[in-house]
Amino acid sequence: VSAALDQLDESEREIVMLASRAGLSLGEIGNRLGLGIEEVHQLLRRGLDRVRGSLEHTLRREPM
Amino acid sequence: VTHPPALIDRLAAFALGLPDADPDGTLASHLADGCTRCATDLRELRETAALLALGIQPLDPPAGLRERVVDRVSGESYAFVLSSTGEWREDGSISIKQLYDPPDDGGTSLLSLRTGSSLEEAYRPGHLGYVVLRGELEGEGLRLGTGDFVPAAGKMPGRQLSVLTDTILLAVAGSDQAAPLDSPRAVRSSRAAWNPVEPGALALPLAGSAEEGVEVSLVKMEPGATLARHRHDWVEELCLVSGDLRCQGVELGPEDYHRAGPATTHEVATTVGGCTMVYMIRKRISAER
Repeated sequence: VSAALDQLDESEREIVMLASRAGLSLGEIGNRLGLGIEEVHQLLRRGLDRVRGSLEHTLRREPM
Repeated sequence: VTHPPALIDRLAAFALGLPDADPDGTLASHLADGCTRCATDLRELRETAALLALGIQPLDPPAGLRERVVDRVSGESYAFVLSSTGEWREDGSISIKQLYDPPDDGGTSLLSLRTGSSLEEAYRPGHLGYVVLRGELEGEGLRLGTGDFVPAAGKMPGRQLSVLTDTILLAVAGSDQAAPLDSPRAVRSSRAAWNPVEPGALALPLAGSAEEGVEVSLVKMEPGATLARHRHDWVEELCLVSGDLRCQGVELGPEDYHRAGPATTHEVATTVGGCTMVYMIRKRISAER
């Protein structure tokens, strides 16, 4: 999972971490990073999609 | 079905249960309209969120972060009393932490009973029943543990149950004149029949009914399960027995309590590792009843 996170751009990674682990709202993440709500939505969506893509790739290569 | 890009982007925050993911409910109604593409996307995003939460070392949260999050979301509509907050006060031989103290009605509290004491010592006027959050009690032919329910009044006044190990109870009270809940028996959660309520979630009614104004249930969620966004006209209370639940953006653990007032909306609640909680509904009973 951490390898999948490493694939992300810095802003995507930060948003994914803040949204999934730090208990912040979208508004607070936006304030912290100087972004609008829509941008936070977009980066979060892209970040999660990319994490899923990397995880699927890894899981296919190393069947569990 | 049309898919405005903004709505598709919202799915990620919605899957994570962020409190402001869908403020106007557009996405929730879109999903309720039966959009299978978005439902599939949502399921995949939730799986990813669960993998993320399971696979990464938890961020060392800055000191007091959870309390600050709680301060942000708390108000008249939403309240939280975490296991790390609230105040225990000594009352006779037991300790009490008040979780909910509405005027003109009973409330909800945590009771701490020490090994060797008796359930009788915990009784206060208005108490309707107790859910065991932690510990063990024995007596009256019963042995009760975590997740079990016992009505405050049995066939005989007071309960002759001894506390076998230090015990935490969730006490549900009505007004001082409240009749005992229609639940003559103790409920042992491990032996009862649970009903499916949502995918991955089961409920076990413990006591009360709509007519009595209070309903108490246990809800068990499997790892990765979610509770749908919903609006309610009554007071909803929940207290975790075990596991984790993310609710209104706050991570809850064992003995954490949350309440939402009437006419509020609960965003999607999610669990990563699964959880069991006490779930209560309080509806005002009109004065003439």
